Amino acid sequence: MATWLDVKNNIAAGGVVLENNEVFNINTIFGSNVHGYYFSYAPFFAPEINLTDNDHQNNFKTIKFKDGSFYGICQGESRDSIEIFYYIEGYEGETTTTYCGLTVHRKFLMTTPRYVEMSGTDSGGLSYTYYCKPSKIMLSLCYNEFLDPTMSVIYEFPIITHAINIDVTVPDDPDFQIQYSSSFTIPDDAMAPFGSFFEAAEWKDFLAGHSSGLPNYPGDAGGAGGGNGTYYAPNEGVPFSEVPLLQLINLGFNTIYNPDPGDVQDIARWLWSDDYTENIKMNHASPMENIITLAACPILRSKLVTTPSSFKIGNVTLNNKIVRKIANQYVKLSCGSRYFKGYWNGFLDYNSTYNLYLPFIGFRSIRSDDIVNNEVAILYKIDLMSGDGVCEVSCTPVDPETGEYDVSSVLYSFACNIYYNMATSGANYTSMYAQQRSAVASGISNIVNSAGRMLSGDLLGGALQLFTGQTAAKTDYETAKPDYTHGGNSSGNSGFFSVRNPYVIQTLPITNLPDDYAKMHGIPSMIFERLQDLHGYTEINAINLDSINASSAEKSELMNIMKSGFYI
Amino acid sequence: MEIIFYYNASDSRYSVKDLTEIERCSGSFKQPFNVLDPILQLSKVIDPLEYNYCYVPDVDRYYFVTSQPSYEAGFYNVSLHNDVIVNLRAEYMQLNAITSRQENNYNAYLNDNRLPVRVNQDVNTLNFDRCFVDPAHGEIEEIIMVVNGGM
Repeated sequence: MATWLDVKNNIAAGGVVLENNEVFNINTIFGSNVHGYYFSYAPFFAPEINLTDNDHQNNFKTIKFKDGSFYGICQGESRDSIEIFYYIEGYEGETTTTYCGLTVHRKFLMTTPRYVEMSGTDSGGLSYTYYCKPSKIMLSLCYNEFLDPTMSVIYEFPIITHAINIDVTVPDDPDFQIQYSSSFTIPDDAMAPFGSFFEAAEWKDFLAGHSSGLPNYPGDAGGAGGGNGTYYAPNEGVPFSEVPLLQLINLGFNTIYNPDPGDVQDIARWLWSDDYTENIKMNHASPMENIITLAACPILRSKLVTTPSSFKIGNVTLNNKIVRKIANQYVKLSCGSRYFKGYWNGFLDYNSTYNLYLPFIGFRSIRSDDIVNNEVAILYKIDLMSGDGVCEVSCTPVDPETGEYDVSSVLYSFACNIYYNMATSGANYTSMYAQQRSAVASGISNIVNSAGRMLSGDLLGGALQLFTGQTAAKTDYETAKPDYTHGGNSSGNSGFFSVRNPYVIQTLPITNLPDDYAKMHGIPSMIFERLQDLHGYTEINAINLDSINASSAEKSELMNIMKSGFYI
Repeated sequence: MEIIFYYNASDSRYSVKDLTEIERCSGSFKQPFNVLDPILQLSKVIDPLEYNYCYVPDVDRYYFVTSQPSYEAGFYNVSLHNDVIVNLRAEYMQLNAITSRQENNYNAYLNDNRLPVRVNQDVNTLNFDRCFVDPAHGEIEEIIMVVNGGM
């Protein structure tokens, strides 16, 4: 096996100097007792050189460059010859090849204004992991003893369109030093921790004065297009509302008590006694009508603000009975918050359905835009006088790339009643029952159309009306079967028999993604790019072929092929 | 004119072909010449399964071999099809374009109506904190009584 020192000794002995475009067979340098490498090339088109170590994973090969020509230094024998184009500094055109690793070389431009040149030095070690965002990253690997630092092996990554970690394996040689330089584009949300720069803003400060000819970043919305609007749409946020400051219980007309069950039994006996019925001021038809509400309340005692007090109705006090009297009419109950991270961070997150169950309210649909990559918080505000209240759902967008929180806004608000009312008179019972029946009936229909919109129904048999809401683009599955709601309202008494904590029912599509889907189909992409900066399967939406020197028939056929899909 | 026959191992849609040279022959184009689908006149028979691609230096064009040779008037005629993706590559690669689908540069938030999705779906429940009394946790409700007066 040829070692690094063997390579060095051969170079010291002269090596091989190649001119531009000269075909080079590395067998001419070394003999047969070396490990083999396979090179493939396309001699008539832009060169793409695949370097594969057939025998050993840790072998490496390098090419030393020099202005105008270069030395070819390779370990091993090739099964084929290679043709190498070299790069002259300052020239934008065909580029040199890359070595020292398992990479496929692609063309790159060194000195265009849109690229940033950064450099730094790492030393020692066997492998380095570099994190990078959309960019073309080039690492210059140089053996600091052997090579002049201005001449180095260029190690180029293919075009990267998403964040990846790249492992670079280098020789385990203490004298081996990695000098890295990178040229890359700066998208708005770039995180490129090279050198001392970590944030996109810092990169852009560094670039002050450079040309702003940045290419479109795949994933940007692109231009807003058309119109002369301000294109300024701030998100100001809407915080949770506060409970009223006016406490009605301080006005003297009503009092709220929080008695124990034993207290209620004592009170019930007293209500049928002469002490009460003989002394109460008759401002109602029945003395019992002085009891406005008697209800079970699903709030923890620790949440109620009470003071010990004598029990009194109207003008009559039940002697020797101390019960808790409510001192704060309004209660806020938080169900906490939860971050719903996108499952795909793609369009399928927004083709999923989300139903929010809220205690004492029931199931409510929630828009995917409001829940995906949002922190959702739920807050109930209850009036203890009636048990009525409101549930607010606040959504805080979170940037999936940076984790940065935007402002919160209350996007949903639902009325509720949390009391299980107990009838204390016949009139009271009739009214209460009618209200409960109405509340249940309003959510009777549970069939929705395939767009996930509820069909409104009527308990009394009215015709089902199709709710024609927005029909966003769907995948095939959405039209394959109908969807259903998960229930009607569950307020008041019926809410007592329902689940007591909020939860989300998340219905996600299951993809059936075959291997190499992107390679065979591509993925939707609406970007404006020079074709030489693209790689792989491509379908063109629009291109102007007028400048091409070819017959109209050839250009027409070319356009058809480009639009139906081809491989760059 | 010289004709260089190759074996093309690549899909027809690849703009860079994997070619293996088979043989160099001489021949001519049958007139009238068709830019997209010319007919080659050869003095020998070739097997289009092996000689499935060719380059004609005189017109600097690459072609797919699309037919078995047919004998006519002393020549073996072979149909060709212009490989425009390869022939015009040097020029169109310098052009800007708007892509609709791409293997590496894409936007995951754009709707993909080709993405296969199963009919069955994944249903999950995700809980929030509890803020009400829950008998399932052994908790009991409070009693609230609202009365007239009482001050």
